[in-house]
Amino acid sequence: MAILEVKGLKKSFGANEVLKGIDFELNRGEVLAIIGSSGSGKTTLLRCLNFLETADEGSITVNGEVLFDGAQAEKKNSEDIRKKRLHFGLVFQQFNLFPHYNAITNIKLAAELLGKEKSRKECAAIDAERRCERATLKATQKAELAALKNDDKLTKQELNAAKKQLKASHRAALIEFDDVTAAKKTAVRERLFGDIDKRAQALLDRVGLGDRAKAYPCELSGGQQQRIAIARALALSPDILCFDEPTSALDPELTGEVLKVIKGLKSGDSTMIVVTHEMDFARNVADKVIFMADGVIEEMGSPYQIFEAPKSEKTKAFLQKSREQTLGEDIA
Amino acid sequence: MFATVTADLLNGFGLTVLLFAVTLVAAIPLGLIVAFCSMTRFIPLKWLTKVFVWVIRGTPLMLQIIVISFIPNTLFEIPNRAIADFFGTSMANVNFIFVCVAFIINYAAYFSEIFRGGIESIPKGQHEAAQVLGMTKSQTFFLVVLPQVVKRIIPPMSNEIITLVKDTSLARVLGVVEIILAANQAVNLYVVIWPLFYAGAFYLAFNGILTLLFSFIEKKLSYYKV
Ligand SMILES: Nc1ncnc2c1ncn2[C@@H]1O[C@H](COP(=O)(O)OP(=O)(O)OP(=O)(O)O)[C@@H](O)[C@H]1O
Ligand SMILES: [Mg+2]
Repeated sequence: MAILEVKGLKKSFGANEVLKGIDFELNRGEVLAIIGSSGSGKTTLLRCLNFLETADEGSITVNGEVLFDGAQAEKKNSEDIRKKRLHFGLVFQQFNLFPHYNAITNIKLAAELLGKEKSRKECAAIDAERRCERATLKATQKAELAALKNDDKLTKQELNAAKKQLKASHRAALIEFDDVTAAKKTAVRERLFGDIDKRAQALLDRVGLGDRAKAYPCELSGGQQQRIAIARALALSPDILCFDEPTSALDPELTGEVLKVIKGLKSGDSTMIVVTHEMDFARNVADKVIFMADGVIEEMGSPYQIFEAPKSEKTKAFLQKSREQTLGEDIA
Repeated sequence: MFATVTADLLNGFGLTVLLFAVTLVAAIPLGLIVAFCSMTRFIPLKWLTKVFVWVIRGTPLMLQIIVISFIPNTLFEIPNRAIADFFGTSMANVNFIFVCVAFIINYAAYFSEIFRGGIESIPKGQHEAAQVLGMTKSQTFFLVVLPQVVKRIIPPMSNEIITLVKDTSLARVLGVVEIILAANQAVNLYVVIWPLFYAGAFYLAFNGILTLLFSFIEKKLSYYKV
């Protein structure tokens, strides 16, 4: 089954209809490249998927779960949207790293916050459950004590001694009970946070910046910043990672390192959507290519179909133009 | 004579510093609230706030102090003397409170504009990056936006705060004996001019310390660029 299904997605800004019905599917582990001229709605499509814009019509389904359905006039509950959003990750053209945090904090900040939220919830659940059990335990202890008191075979001295013993064992039992509760909570925290630093460091290594954990964004080159931004998006393990022209803000000599990282993700089973002007990248890395023009998918297919045997005149013209541009750049 | 003048000036300086501190502590949070009101999507509140800021920034602080001191009597027919009696305090204290209120309102309006500018200067991309990472609105504000705002507003805030130090001299319009009025009284009493320069030295010292403090904070925050 497809991991992502987009059906009839439409979006207008005022009278300007930017997306005029977008349909496509994507399988797990596939890389989709979206190409198309400026203003054709590529960014808007990614923003709709990430709920930075709300589409007007159509539906978005991930793993069979309908995240958005234009037919249902749903209330825009921000808490709801926040959850849905986590299915997607987005890497921006301008990186948008948090300048006041160093590289590793940029990567782990959101994961830490989500972890805290989860651990708060789970610990509260543990507390609630254990509170009941503790009340039951206390009631049993009370009954035991009462039974002892009603036992008239004992002399007063024996009774006192027995009472003392029982009370001590009760206290020990309660302390042990509380210790177990605390241990359970520690286990939750350990599971949610224990490896956050290690995972962040592993992501840094993965984007080839293992030694720059403490560097602030202003101390990094554009290419390095974008690689950190990719690691930051990966930290939440989204189902689908979107890139909006990840190399367009970079000097040409820096695009290679970023594209290499994205290519490297393909070997893992990340599902990715990459809006790009790098035709070679789309041709060599993508499993599927979409050519967008004026808010519709003009043509969709394998890289071979799009680049070697395009059917639409618009696609041909676009490819011709981009080839001329690259040629121009090479000569210059 | 020097000793008595010093004692008088120190008393006046005490009031100056108290007014300064009270204004700062109250006007910063109030200014933040006003800033939020001026950015709200609830249009009536937004415009009300804008008019408030316009009036407060568009009229002299001295006028505001005088107007506030007249409000209880003219609006509610409560003489200021009655307020003093009710709280069992002196007229001087009541006047000092009026001055504080006027300063807090005035500086909250100025600060709010600095805060608003600071908050609005944070690029949309920062909000969006936080959003797609699943942060809540308050997490976004307190962990992403506010720290960057603080860095950006340090220079305008330090200007405003140094102006506040000097503005405290306006308290004398209600007879609050802050340091300049104290010096002035000494000038009249002893027919010498140096108490005025002496008072000036206090201001210089105070502002000098503030300047050092601000450059220290600025240096502390210079580990990143926005
Ligand atoms: N927030 C907005 N409000 C109004 N119009 C918008 C908004 N965002 C995008 N548009 C319009 O939508 C159209 C498509 O924009 P979009 O950014 O999706 O194009 P794009 O394919 O990403 O182009 P590029 O290759 O230049 O990035 C443009 O005409 C743009 O002016
Ligand atoms: Mg775009």
